[in-house]
Parts: sequence; structure tokens; C-alpha cells
Amino acid sequence: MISVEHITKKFVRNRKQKEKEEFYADNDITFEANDGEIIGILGPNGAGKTTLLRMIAGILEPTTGKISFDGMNYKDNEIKIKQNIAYLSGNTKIYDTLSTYELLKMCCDIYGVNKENSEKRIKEITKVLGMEQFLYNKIANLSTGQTQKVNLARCLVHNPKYYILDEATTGLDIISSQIILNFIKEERDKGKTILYSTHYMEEAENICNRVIMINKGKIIKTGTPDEIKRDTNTTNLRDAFFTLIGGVSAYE
Amino acid sequence: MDKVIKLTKIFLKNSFSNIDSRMGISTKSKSKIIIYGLLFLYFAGLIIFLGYNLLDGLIAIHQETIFVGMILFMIFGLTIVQTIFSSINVLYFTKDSEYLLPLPLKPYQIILARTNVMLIAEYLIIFLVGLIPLVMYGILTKAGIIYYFTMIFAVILIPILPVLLISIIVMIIMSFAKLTKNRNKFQLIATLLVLAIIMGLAISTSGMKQDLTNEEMAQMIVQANGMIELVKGYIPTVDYLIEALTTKSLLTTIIEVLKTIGITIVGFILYMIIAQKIYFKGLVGNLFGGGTSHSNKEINQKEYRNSKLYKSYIGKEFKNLVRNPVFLVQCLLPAILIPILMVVVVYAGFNSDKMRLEQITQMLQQMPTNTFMIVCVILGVIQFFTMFIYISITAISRDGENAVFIKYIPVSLYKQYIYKIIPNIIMNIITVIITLGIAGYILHLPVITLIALFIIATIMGVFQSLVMIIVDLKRPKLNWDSEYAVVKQNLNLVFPVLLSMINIAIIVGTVFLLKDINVYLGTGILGILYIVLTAITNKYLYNKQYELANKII
Repeated sequence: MISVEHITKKFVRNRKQKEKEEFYADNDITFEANDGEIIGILGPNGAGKTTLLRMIAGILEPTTGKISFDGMNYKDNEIKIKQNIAYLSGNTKIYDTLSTYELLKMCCDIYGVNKENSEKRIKEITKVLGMEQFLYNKIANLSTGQTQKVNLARCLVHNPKYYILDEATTGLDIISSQIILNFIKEERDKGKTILYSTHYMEEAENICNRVIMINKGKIIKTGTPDEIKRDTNTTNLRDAFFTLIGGVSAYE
Repeated sequence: MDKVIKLTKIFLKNSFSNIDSRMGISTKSKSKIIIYGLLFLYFAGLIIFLGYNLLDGLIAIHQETIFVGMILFMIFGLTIVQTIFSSINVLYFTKDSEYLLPLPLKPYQIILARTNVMLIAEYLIIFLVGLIPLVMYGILTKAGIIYYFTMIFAVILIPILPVLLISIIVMIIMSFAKLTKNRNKFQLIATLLVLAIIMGLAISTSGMKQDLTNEEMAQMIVQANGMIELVKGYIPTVDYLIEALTTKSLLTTIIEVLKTIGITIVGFILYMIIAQKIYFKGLVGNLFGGGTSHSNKEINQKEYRNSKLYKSYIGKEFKNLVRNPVFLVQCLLPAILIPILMVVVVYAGFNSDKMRLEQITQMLQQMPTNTFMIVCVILGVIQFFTMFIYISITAISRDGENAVFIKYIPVSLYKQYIYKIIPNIIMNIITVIITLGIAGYILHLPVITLIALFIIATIMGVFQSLVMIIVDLKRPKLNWDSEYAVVKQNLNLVFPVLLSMINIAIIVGTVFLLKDINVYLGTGILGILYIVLTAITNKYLYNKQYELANKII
């Protein structure tokens, strides 16, 4: 279980020349993600989704609040937590001078996967994600879809317990994104805890058990997709979101 | 024209800016100006020192005009070498090309702005290595005001044609050759070619100058002059400008400068005509063409081998350095090439005057080889060589947007920092071994002195590597268009120079304070000083490992 308690992240940005202002990318965010559950983090660009997931992945430190993984926190168990995390971002670049195989092997070494398992794991993942054709090609020469598959493969070699997926399907074609979505569902069924951020509301409705809607750094609604639709008297999450924020004009 | 100027400004800002847009941090400060000023003075002093010695010798034998020829050819040659490296990146491999094409800009505006960027980059270097020696020539030969005006024209005009020529060649290759769809291959071939030429020239020059009498030396100068005469036939602008700078006739100067301007304008018009026809063909092909070749190789059971974490991590660092030609040339190779080239050039310089060489050799051999001063001089020389190893200072920046990887893998940040600086330490050791090998051979140093030098130079290398990764962590350059932004257009690169200068100052200070001290005691004191500095730096890196990574997001 991933537990997030009252976390905030404050940044300083330039307002005018030489004039700075503080702002909260995330403000008092609290939720829990249980084992075998996909939690959708939804919101428009700039809502604070990426900052939130970066804090959960240990990339950024929250200004205030607590994050724990089955009771463990970063302060006391940083390496143990990271050993069990898979962090994937749509923007994550990988070492493109390496081949896919070299990258996966390096990740096995980093995550301490033993020889028998790593060999088996690379073969399995290669097959599942259909990467046989470019396993030995340099990552720099791969297409966007292939690169994102490599990115996903990199997250899987150590059989993580927690997935933190930040807009993992952005920019991918329908086939590549479906492969990733199917994979996420399979992992959920194996009891993994998955945080899935997206701004594609339909995608979230399709795969998420529960949804957390964020706007301007604050949670505006949580619940199952059905609960949210019922509470907002709408038929889909897109309309529900607009209802909650008071329409596009209110957002502007 | 307004759009060209605006575009040029944007390209330049994009290339040279050290602003991390995600962090909203501007690094503009007075300290930057001071650092630049110090560096400028340092290199200007070095150039004046070297140039003065050469010019002084040539004036003594009334051959000073050769100096002008040499400088102008050097500017021409340097521009060619620099443009080979920069043109491919500036013209084809910047990320902004994709965004520029749909904008309402005329092709000539983009081409002109790109060309301006290459030229301005050239002028920055040529001002230092070309203008200073030419000013020195003017002062020492008591030249009149016309000379200085002509000199400014010369420095402005000479780089234009080689930039245009190399750019056109690159454009032609990009339009036709499939090879260039792979930038790495193109750069590697260009790099190897240039290195082969430089090494060949250095070795052949040193070979030519061995065992020369004064008469032979004079004959060689005549031959060098003859060579300049021969080559300048193929480079008319240099030919005209040599004449313009060395003639006493004002009319001849004006005519030669006008001829140069005329040829440059013709060259520019031809360049624009050809470039407008072929540049975008290659650019579009590069942006949207190509594909991936597939390998059907299966995972071979036998080839799979697990590695220890440190081996795997350091291996990744080395692969990134070796497989990327820009990093290979700018970060790895200097460790090997600089000491060899420096020794070849210095030795060739000494050899150019046999009497002087014999005197120097005798003087060196008469000196007691176990003096503390010799140890310090060698340490200073090693410091000078190792400041060109840019592995540690770019350890984080080289990863670009990959850098965030270090924050979510289950390996402590401190450990990763150490793995990242190990290639720098290894290359530093290689430089030390080469330098000590040469110094030991020339000076017949005792083995124990060489061992002491090796230990202390290695400790200094570890200290330097630790300081440099801290600098890179504090000022990472993670958003870059091409690798050149990390190894050339990166203000952090002044820090290895500054640290080397500080180290040299410490060494000089130690010699001054402890000049009569026993060599082993003196070396021991220096060793302890650097062990303490290394330990403090290491402790700082360990304690601040998380804080230092704050800019990596």
C-alpha cells in the first residue's frame, strides 16, 4: 500500500524580471493506494500530477507531509523502497548510446536481479513487449513507440511491487498504448499497487479502480469512476471534471 | 534582415545560455564576468608568451613577415577544424529545426542565421589566438595605424570562406549520403580524420626539425616561407591579406583588402545560391527520414553475464563516453593526446635550435633530479594537462534529461557520484603515467621520485574529480540540443581551469616556502595537504548528496 499524507510542494517562480513568487504545485494531498489497485491521477496540464508522482518516486522531496510504502518511508528505507518501485514517465529519456539489451542488463545489475532470473526476465519481457526485432539496436535509433517499450521494459526487470506511471502512453499510437494498458491491468491482477497519471479521461475510466482528480495542485474529487459520474450527474469522467471545475471558462 | 538578426540572437542564446528553464534559474552574475576575465588573461598571457618567443626569433633573422603568414594560416586552419565539428550540429542536429520549418521564415533567413552562429563562435576563439599575436606583431615591428585597420579586416574576413566552404561540403554530403543519417558515424569519421591530420603534422614537424644546424634552420625557414607561398596560391584571401599586412604601400594594402572583400562576397553569393537549393533537402531528410535496421540476433545464453553493480555502472559511463564521438574527443582523448602532443610540440620547439636544445638538455641533466622543485614543476605540468579532462565536470550534464534516472534507482546517490567520477580518475592516471614516463625518460628521475609523484598526482586527480562533480551537480546543464552544448558551450568548463590554476599556485607557493626542503619531506607535506583536501571534499559530497541533487528533476 502507498500512503500519501498531507503532502505539499512549494516552488518559487519568476513573476516579472527580478520578481519572484512562491506557489504550491501540490497542496495538502492525501490518499491511499491499496495492493491490487490502479489509482488514476487525473487533471489538466500543470495540475500538479507530475510533481506529485515525482515526490512519490523519491525524485523530489515534499515541502511538508509524509509518503510511505507499506509503512516504510524514504528517510529510513530509501534503497529498499526504490528497489520495489517502477517509475515511468512519458518524458523519461534513457541512455541512448546503449542497446536495449545493454540497458536491460544494466538495470538487472542495478536492481540486484540474480543471473538466472535476469536472463529469464529479459527474455520474458522482450517477448511480451515484442522487442525481439530491436533488442540489439541502439536506443537512439528506435522509434518513439519502441523507445517507450524499452522504457517500460526497464521498469519491469526487477519485478517491482509499486508502479508510478506518469503519462506513460502520451505520444504513443493505439497499438503501443494498448500493449502498455494491458500490461498494467495484468500487473494489477497480480496484486501490484499502481499509480497512473494521465490527462486522457477515457483511458482512466477504462483501467482505473479509483480516480483522484487534481486541479491547480488540490484534490477536487476522489472515488471510483462510477461514483464520480454519479455524484456529478454526468456520463463520463471528462464531463465530470468540467462540472467539478465549473466549466472551461472557469478554468481559464 | 531584422528576422535574421532576431533568429541569430535566439540561436546564440539557445546555444550559449546556461539557464535551466525548468528551474527558472539565471546564472548571470558578476562572478561569471570575473571568471571570464581571469581566464581571458590567463590564455592571453600564454599566447603572448609563446608568440613573443617565436616572433622575437624571427625578427632576429629578419624573417618576421613569416609570422603574419603563419598566424593567418592558423586562423584559416583553425576555422576549418572547428567548423568540421560545429557545422553538422549547428546546421542539422539542433532540436529546433523541426519547429523552425513551419514558421513563416524564408530559407535564406534560416541559413544566414545558422551561418552567423558558426561565424560568431569562430570569432570568439580567433580573437584570442589570432588577434593578440597580430597586435603583438604590430607593436614589435612598430607598424603604423593602417596595419591595425588591415589587421581587423583580416581577422573578420579570413574565417568567412572556410566556414562557407565546410558548410557547403556538409550540406552536399547531407543531401546525398545515407551515412549522415547517423550523426555519430559522421562525427566519428570527421574526428578521426582531423586527429590523424593533427597527429601527422605534429609528428612530421618534430621529425623534420631534428638535428638541424643553424644554416639548416635558416634554410628551413626559407622552405617554410616557400611552403606558405605554395599553399597561399590555393587560398587567395590569405594570400592577399598577407600582402596587405606586410607591404609598406598604402595603395597595395587597399587593393589587396578590396580583392579579399570581393572574393568573400562572390563566395558568399555562391554559398547562398547553393545552400538554398540543398540545405533544406538534407535537413528534411534528416528530420523525417531514416528508419531502424533490425537485428534478428537472439539472446545468446553464453554471452549473458551478470556484473557487479559498480562494474555495470562504470561500464555504462565508459560506453557513453566512447560511443559518443563528441564526448570521446572532448572528454576522453585529451587525457592521452594532450601530454603526447604537448611533449612533441615542445620537443620540436627545442629542437629548432640545436644549441639551445643541447644547453637545455645539459642544464636538465646537471640539475639534481631529486630536488623538490623538479617534483613541483612536474606536478604543475600534470595539472596543466589534466585540466582538459572534462569527464567529471560533465558527469551529470552529459546525461541530459536521463540524469533523473540516478534519483529513482535503488543505489545511493553518493555511490553513483563516485562511480561517475571513476572514469575521470582512470583517465587522470593515464595522463599521469604518460607524463611521468616522458619526464622520467628525459630527466632520468629515480624510480622512488616517480612513485612519489604518481601517488601525489593521483590524489590530486581524485580531489579534482570530486570538486568537479560537485560543480556539475550545483550547475547542471541538462537541457541541451547537442552534445557540444555540454562540452563546449558550458560555462562550468572554466572550473577545471580555475582549479588547476589554484593547484599550480599552491604548488608554486609550496616551492617558494619550502625551497630547501628535502624532496621526500616536501612531497609528503603536499601529499598530506591534498589528502586532507580530498577527505574534506569527499565528506562534503557524502553529507550533501541529496541536497546537491536538487537541481536534477
